[in-house]
Amino acid sequence: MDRQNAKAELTSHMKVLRAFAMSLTRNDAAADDLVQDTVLKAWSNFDKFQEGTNMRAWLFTILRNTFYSNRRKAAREVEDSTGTITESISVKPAHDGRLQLAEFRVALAELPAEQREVLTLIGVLQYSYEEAAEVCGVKVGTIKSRLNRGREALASSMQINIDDQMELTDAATHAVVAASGGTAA
Amino acid sequence: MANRPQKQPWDTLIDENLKRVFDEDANAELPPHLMELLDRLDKIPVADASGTTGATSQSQEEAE
Repeated sequence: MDRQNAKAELTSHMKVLRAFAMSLTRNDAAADDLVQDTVLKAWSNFDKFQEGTNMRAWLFTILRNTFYSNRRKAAREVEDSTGTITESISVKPAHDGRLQLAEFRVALAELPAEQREVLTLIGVLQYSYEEAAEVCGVKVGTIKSRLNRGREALASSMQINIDDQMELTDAATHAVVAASGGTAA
Repeated sequence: MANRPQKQPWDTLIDENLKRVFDEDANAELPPHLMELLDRLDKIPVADASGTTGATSQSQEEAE
């Protein structure tokens, strides 16, 4: 791949790359730094990129490897940051079980990065278990476990009892009907 | 064959929120310094397939 084509394709992935960085860091400045590091590493290692393969997946792999490498180096700072976030969380259930998006973001930020990563790859980007396992460098069983734990944690934050999903759906429906005088649309 | 996750009803609700969060982030404007970085890429040498430019170490240094 020549340099201009490489740059054009790299540029086309920048916004999704930054969104993926946000899914890992939940912090604008940290996401920007992560994208910058990823772009520089990718650009200086384009000889290792196999033309015809998925550049986005390749960039994701560089980005996540950089993120986890940086996190290992700054483990203490990350713990402090997580503590601050945890203390600031105050999740209130909406009447139908939905969180406002801002509240959902807070709940998402509370999850371990490994769970956010898998939730993003599978829940948002529609990766298969196998594709996510390849990007993350772990076994499919680990991906399934992280996905389930992440969803359970978010469901818990949304005050959804996964074992009683249908029952709570009925309760939520009844609440809406009752609140609207029995004429819920 | 790819193994696609089986979804529960609440998973769909969670995924919808995940997508909204991701879309908001993906639709945000890139900060100026990242745009400037893309402009500067042309000035950063790239090793060819045989790695013969001799610029790799310089680029790696910048990456770190």
